[in-house]
Amino acid sequence: MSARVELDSVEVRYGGVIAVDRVSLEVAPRSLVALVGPSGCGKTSLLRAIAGFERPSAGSVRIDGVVVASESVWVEPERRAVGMVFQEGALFPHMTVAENVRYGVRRRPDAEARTREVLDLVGLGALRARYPDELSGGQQQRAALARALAPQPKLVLLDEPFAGLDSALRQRIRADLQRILRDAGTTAVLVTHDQQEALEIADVVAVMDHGRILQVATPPDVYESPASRHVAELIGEGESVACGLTGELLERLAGQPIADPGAGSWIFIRPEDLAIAAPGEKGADAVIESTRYFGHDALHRIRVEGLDCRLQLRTSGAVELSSGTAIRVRLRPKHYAVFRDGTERLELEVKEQSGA
Amino acid sequence: MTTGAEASTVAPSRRGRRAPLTYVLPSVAAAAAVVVPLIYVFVRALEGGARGWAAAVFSPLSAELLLNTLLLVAGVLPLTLVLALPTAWLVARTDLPGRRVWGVLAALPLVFPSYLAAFTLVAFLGPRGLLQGWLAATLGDRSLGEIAYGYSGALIALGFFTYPYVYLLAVAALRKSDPALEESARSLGAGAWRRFADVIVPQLVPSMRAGGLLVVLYTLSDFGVVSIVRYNTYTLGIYNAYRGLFDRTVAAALATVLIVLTLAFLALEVRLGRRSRPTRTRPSRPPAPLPLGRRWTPIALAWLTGLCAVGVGIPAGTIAWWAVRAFRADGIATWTAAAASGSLGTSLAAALIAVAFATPLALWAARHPSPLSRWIERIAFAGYALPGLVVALALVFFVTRALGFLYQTLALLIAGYVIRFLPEAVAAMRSSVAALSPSFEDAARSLGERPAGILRTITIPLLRPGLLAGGGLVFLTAMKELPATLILRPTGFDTLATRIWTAVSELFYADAAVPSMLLVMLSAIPMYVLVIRPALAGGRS
Repeated sequence: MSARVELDSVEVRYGGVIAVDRVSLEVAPRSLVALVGPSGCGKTSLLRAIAGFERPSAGSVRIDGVVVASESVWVEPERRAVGMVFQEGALFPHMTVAENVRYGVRRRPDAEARTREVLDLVGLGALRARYPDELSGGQQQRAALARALAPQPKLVLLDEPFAGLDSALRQRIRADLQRILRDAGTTAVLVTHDQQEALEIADVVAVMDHGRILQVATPPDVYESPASRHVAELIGEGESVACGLTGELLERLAGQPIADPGAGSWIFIRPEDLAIAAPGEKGADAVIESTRYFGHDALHRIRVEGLDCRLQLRTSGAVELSSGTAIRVRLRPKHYAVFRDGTERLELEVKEQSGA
Repeated sequence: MTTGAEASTVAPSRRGRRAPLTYVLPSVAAAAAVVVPLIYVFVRALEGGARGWAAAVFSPLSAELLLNTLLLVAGVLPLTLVLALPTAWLVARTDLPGRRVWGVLAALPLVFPSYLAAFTLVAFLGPRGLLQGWLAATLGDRSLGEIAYGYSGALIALGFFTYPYVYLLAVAALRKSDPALEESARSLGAGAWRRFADVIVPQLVPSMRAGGLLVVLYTLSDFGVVSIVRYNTYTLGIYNAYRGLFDRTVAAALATVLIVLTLAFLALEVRLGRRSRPTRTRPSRPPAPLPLGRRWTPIALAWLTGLCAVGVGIPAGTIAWWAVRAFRADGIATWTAAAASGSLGTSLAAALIAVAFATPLALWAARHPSPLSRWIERIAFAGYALPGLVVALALVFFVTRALGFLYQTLALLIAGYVIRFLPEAVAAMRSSVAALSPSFEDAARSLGERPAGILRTITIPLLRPGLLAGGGLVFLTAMKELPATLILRPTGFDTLATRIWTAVSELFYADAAVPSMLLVMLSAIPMYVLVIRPALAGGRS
């Protein structure tokens, strides 16, 4: 029921442009892998290469141990038994929900039963006679998912399935999707530009940029231990601060003696890594420049004395800080990622302040 | 540093990917069928040497034709604007009683092909016409009959029967205009006249340009009116040279001038277009109708009554009056039926073939935009911009030299219709093709469907509205086509259009009336469904 997907040095070109640059990736059976990266990073092209809508110019694609694309082999998409959910759903507008779902199984004897089963799985049993334009955005996406799942594919590919939905709806559909895919027991590859989405629902996140995969890891690992400065900057918020250049600033921020990794290396500081120093605690002097208030928390842009870039500081609860307020900030104790020359990864430990 | 609010990724367009040959080959073939004969007109015209060509083109006859043609354009264009714009405004923006019905009535002159307009004008107003007969009997006056012929006749017939092109576009523009624009002008202190000049007129400019171009092209290409009212323009001159002279080089030479003249007007329109700025806004609500009040309502109603009396009442009444007399004649049913089946058969064939070529052309242009596909599409549109008479002559010149076995066959006539009206099918299919996202076909493939099955279950059902509209338009216009039919038809073959024209040329009005009535009845419903209703509704959706 569920397949392993193995990509080996897959390259996709459009004319002279390389969209996917020798990507190798293995997707374990029953797992949900998210390909995440900015627009034009090649994630959709990679997905379409797995589906068979793009023919790789080099490398091979293997699904369930069978080579479907290589120098010598080419299996047409209709013969791959791979389900696909498109951006905006791509429901056939001239067919009802049930007809859409039945499309992929209509030659099977159990077509009707299977259609009913999948519609119940996504909770659309009552809307089977509606046309796509009579459905809400979320219902359309669930119908598209049902259609892709009906032929019991070993692998489901999802291309930005939530792109057209508003944020409240996204939250709900994400949870639904996770449950439905788990119940169906298929392997799934999801493409998204929304890192929040990738972190929330994927078992494994593959971060892409410029046609290459930068890191493959579980969501906490990608967030907490990014493989490179580039990944750190792509996933979540935060700022890279050059070490060394700023003298003993890092020591002031940490509030303790620290072995500065020196010029050419960068420390990555997320908004939640900073805290306002309690009275008596050590820290660096800063001034709040502006504040974005979100209700449950707030993000402040701060200027730290002696630092030429701005940092972000997350505070929770009610905000009594207005722009211009002078504060003192410190780094929370944890292991910080430090990058030398962008890629080489070191670690820097900030300990609990003694006597605080 | 990253932000969560990143623009959503766009699915890779098929730009840069090679278009399938199933799109390219039919499109290139269609473009070749348009352009090769046209080039051949120039080859044929220069066959007698540059001196022979110059002798034909710079002759006194040619100068007279040019002057007459330009005078006609100079008269018809302003007349159509004067008729169309106030009417469009009354229908779209005022509380005129019955404005829905008036809206349709004002577009109905489109139902009458120009030669029917000329025929009914002559049969009503002419020296042997209905009104003249009555005037002569009661007042003994015969002078009025003259206005049905010559310049005045051509001006009235073309003006009153082509203004709907401007009118329909103007109604759509006025309905689409955002009332917030006028309200903004008002809040900035602009009075009624300032608002009209500064807000409404600029919104009408694009429709005046587009509609005006259609009127100019129609006037340049018209053969039916000028041949019936005997006003010597280029089309008539070319036809007479072709029919009357043994040497067809003169006809070819005159045709080159008409081609250049048409291209000059097209280029002029493009230049004007560059200077104006599109005023496209998305209205939040329809504009509130302006109350006409007790003083202006009767004037508006009188205007519309007069317009519809000339554009609809006179032709419908005249045809009916003569048709009643004609039914008593013997054999009329037989030859009308023969002409009708000729019209239906050739038009239906043309519609089917045009749609078969338009589909790959529209798909290619929409899904694989490239300089080549854009040029092919543009070339395919040339057949529509150029006069039907010229397209037909080009085909005859080319075929008699290169493919002699096609000369005087129905196949050639149908090919002429396809070349001339293919752009109508392409244009009608554009919105359907745009709505047919490639991901529908990809989705069907991922569900295991083979290409042939996808065509049957997805592509054709989704393109159906465009296929029907495009095929319907080609059918409709081919049914009414006259000049190309006169040139291309096999000897002894008749359509309703050629029947009507022949009878009118011989002043047998009664013989023309029954086929006229049939033609109007056959084309009225498709014309309403395919042209008038969508155009009038266009502003509302």
